[in-house]
Amino acid sequence: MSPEQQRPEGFRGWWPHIRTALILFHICAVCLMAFPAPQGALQKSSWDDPSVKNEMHMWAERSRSIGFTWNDVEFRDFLWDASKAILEVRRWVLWPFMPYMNWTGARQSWRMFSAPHRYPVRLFIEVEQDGIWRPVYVGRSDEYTWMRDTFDHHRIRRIIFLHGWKRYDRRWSTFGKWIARHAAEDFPDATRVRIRQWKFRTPSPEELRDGKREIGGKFQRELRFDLQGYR
Amino acid sequence: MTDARPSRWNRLVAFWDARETGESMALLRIGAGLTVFATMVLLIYREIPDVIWVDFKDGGYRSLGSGQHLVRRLGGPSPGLTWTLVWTACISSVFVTLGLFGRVSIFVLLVSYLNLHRLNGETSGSSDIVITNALWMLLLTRATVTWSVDCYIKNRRWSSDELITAWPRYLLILQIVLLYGTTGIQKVSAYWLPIGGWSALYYILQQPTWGRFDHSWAAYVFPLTQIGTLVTWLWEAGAPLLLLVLYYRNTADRPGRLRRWFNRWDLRWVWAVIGITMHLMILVFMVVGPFSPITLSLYFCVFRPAEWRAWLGKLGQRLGRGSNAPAVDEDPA
Repeated sequence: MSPEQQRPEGFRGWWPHIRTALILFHICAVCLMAFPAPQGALQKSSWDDPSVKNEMHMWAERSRSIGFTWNDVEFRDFLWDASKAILEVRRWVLWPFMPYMNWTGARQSWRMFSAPHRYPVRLFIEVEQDGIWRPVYVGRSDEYTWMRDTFDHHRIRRIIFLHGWKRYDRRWSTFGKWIARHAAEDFPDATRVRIRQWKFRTPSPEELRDGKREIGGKFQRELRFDLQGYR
Repeated sequence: MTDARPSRWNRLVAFWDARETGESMALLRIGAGLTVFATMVLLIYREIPDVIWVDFKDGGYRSLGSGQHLVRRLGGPSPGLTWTLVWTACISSVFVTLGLFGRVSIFVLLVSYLNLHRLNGETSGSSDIVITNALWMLLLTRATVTWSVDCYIKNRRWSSDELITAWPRYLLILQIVLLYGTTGIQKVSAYWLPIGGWSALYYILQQPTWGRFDHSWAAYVFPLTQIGTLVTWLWEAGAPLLLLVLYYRNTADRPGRLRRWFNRWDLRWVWAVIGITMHLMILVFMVVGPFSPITLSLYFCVFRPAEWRAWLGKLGQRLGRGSNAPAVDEDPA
């Protein structure tokens, strides 16, 4: 017997139909939302990061090998324009579903490890005592472990990862102030704190087997705070 | 003469109106509850909420604005409100695990967790979205009808044959496919492909951000990481095939060579074993939060409630407790 034939009277009879319509709406919303798109990636500063440049170079080179004649910059400009167009279409298509997705929080963001970060950063924190800079925390170090329980938690690792990108400059500075606040408390005889990111290229398997580890490393985004102001 | 076959729409209505017993959703409820409980205990133990979910002026690392939904209505992310939500989530996750207070405890956990993780987009990740999506589906069915304290209070037995709606489980299967399928096709880096030498997993392990410990050993087993890269990419991008596997199993009586070939083995197990292995490796080698436990909890939905009942019944018999578990029946999906 079909649902039509056995349908009870009133709302109870209509409910399975309404529910099916709601489920189909939900399926449309989550499928469209999950559809691959470069949202959050359209930042000129991020495209200047060596990890992204290296990735683009590899793809540009591969496309040239099959007949395209563009150089790396032209390839990058093409990708930029294509990404903008995709995002515009996506915004238009998702518009009716956004209130539902925002209200329920049933978002669909599954860009996980889409690319290895070949130029990651390692967090360095040093305090100045008697005029000498002394490291107190170094990312993943077993020697410099101040506030390690906090910095090694996955949510804080995410902050450190994001703050390695230039577009997070302002937040990086606020994060630095938060570190200074704790350093002032935990190191009463320290005069200053220095917070830096060690940016390096991860070695290839051959380089690592030859004993080379963090290649071409340099410090960036240095922050210094006078701890007197935090006591 | 009229066509007695129901219309396409009515068949769709009948499909989403299906009922089944509650074992798969009960296992998901227990998995999700334990995952949130462990997450909250670790957060509380390390006092992380004071860092990420409290405004800069109150000791947090950044300004959080007014928060969303509930937090905004309650005056913004003050330390008092944040810690109230943290403890509410922690305690309600125990109730959800035990299956106590039915939908009320699931609703309380969903609202508190949703409002917490959305306080700070910088510290929120995919695992939080999987958790809240799973909680929504648990809320929309009666996930405490069996293997719960609620069931014991009502029936004086830990298990029950009471039927619940099956569509939340179906939607969770779709969620699994979307999660893996779209993450797979978004792995567009050259390193996931032959032009990058299938070296993505090796280079991901070299990032200090997510590594649990130093992974320089990977350079000495590089070919194994290449195999891992290939299998991960194929398995994730091929996730939509799981829907085909389930469809063919559900329509096994129809003809077709491909259907017969698919049904020669229970391919759900092949899929699950690869997934479980991948998530166990993530747990051992990386620190990415509760992503693996909550995603593995969704796997309970891929198998029918009657199958869980039969398997766990057999396990109970082997352990000498005895069980009256029925054989696997042929309910849909």
